[in-house]
Amino acid sequence: MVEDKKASGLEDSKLVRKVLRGDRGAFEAIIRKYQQPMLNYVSRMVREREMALDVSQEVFLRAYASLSTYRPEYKFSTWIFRIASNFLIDHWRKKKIVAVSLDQPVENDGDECFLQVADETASVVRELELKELQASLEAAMDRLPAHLRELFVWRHVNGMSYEEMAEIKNIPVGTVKNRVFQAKEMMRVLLEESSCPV
Amino acid sequence: MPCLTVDRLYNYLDGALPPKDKVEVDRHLAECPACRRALEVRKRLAEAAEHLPPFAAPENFAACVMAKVPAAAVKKRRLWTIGLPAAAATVVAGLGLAFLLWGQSIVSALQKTGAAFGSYLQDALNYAAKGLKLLSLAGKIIITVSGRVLDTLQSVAEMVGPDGRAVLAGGALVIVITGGMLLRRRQFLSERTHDK
Repeated sequence: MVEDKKASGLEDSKLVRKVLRGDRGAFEAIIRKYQQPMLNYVSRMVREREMALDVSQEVFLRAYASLSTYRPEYKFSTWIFRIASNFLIDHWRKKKIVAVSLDQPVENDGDECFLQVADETASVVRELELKELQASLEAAMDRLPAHLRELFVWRHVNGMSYEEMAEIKNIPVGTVKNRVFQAKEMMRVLLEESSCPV
Repeated sequence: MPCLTVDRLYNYLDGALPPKDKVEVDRHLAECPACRRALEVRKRLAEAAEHLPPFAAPENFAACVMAKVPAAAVKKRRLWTIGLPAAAATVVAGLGLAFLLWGQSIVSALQKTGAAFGSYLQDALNYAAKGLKLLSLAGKIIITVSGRVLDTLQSVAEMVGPDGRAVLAGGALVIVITGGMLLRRRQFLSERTHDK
C-alpha cells in the first residue's frame, strides 16, 4: 500500500513535469485521476450537484494555473486538496456564509471527545439497514459544521490519513485527530436525534 | 478498568493504541456490554461512511475542464532557458549581418552611439556612487572590444569582396540556426534525464 502511494506520487511528479513542458494530455490524465476523489469531497461540502461540478472544475483550473509553484517533494494529492479547501473558504467568504467556516481556529478544540462512553440505550445506528443508514448519514453530514465535515469526509470518504489531513490544513496531527473524533461523535448524536427513538 | 473514553474507543478502532493498552481494552470489552455496544455503533457508522456511494461524475468532466484550460502551456521557466539565448543569438547575428551588408557605416554608428552612451554615463556618474564608475569602465571596455571586433570583421570583409560577404552572411545565419537547434536539443535531453 505504501509502495502504491509512492509509485503514485512519482507518477504524479512525472505528469506535472510533462504538463510544464506543454503536454496538455498529461494534465487531462491528472484530472481523470483526481476527479472522483475531488468530486466526492466537494459534493459533500457544497451539496448542489451543479455547484459541485463548477467548484471542482475551478479547482483543477487553479491547479493548472499555479502548477509551476508545485514542489515535487510534497504529495500532489495534498497540494490539490489544499487548493480545493482554500477555494471553498474563499467561495463561502465571498458569499458571506459565516456559519460554515473551514478555517476554524485551532484553539477552539475542546475536550468534548474525551467524555465517557455511555451507550446503555438502543441505537438507530445498529437498527437501520445500510442504505437507510447511509441516507441518514448524508443528511446528518449537512448539519455538521463545515470544518468538521471536511475532515470527516477526507477521513471516511476519501480515506486520507491524519497526517495527510494535517499537512493540507497545516495544523497539528493531534488537532486533526481530535476534530475527526469530535465530528464522528457529533454525527452519531445527530443520527440518533434525527431518527425516531427506538 | 473504568469504561472507555470516546478518544480511547476511536484510537482502538483506528488500531492506534499501544499493544499494552489494546490488551486492556480487549479485556474490558469482554466484560462490559455497554462499551461493546458503543464500539459496535461507532464501527458501523464508520463502515457506512466508508461505503457511501461516490458522486456520479459526468463522463465528459475531464474534457469540459480541458476545454477551459488556456491554450498556452505553463511555460514560465522556458522563457529563461530558451528565450534568452535565442534572443541574444538573434541580436549577435543581426549585428553581424548588418556589418557585412553596410560595412563602415555601422561601425561609425556604433562608435557614435557608444561615445554618446559614454558621455551620458559620465554625466550620470557625477551624481552616482563609486560603484557606478565600475559600470562606466565596463561600458568603455565593451565599446573598445566591440570596435576592435568590428574593425577585424571589416578588414575580413574588404579582403573577401562582395561575393565573400554574401557567403559569410549565409555562413553566419547557418551557425546561428544550428546553435539554436543544438540548444533546444540539449534542453530536451536534460529534461529526459530528469524524467528517468
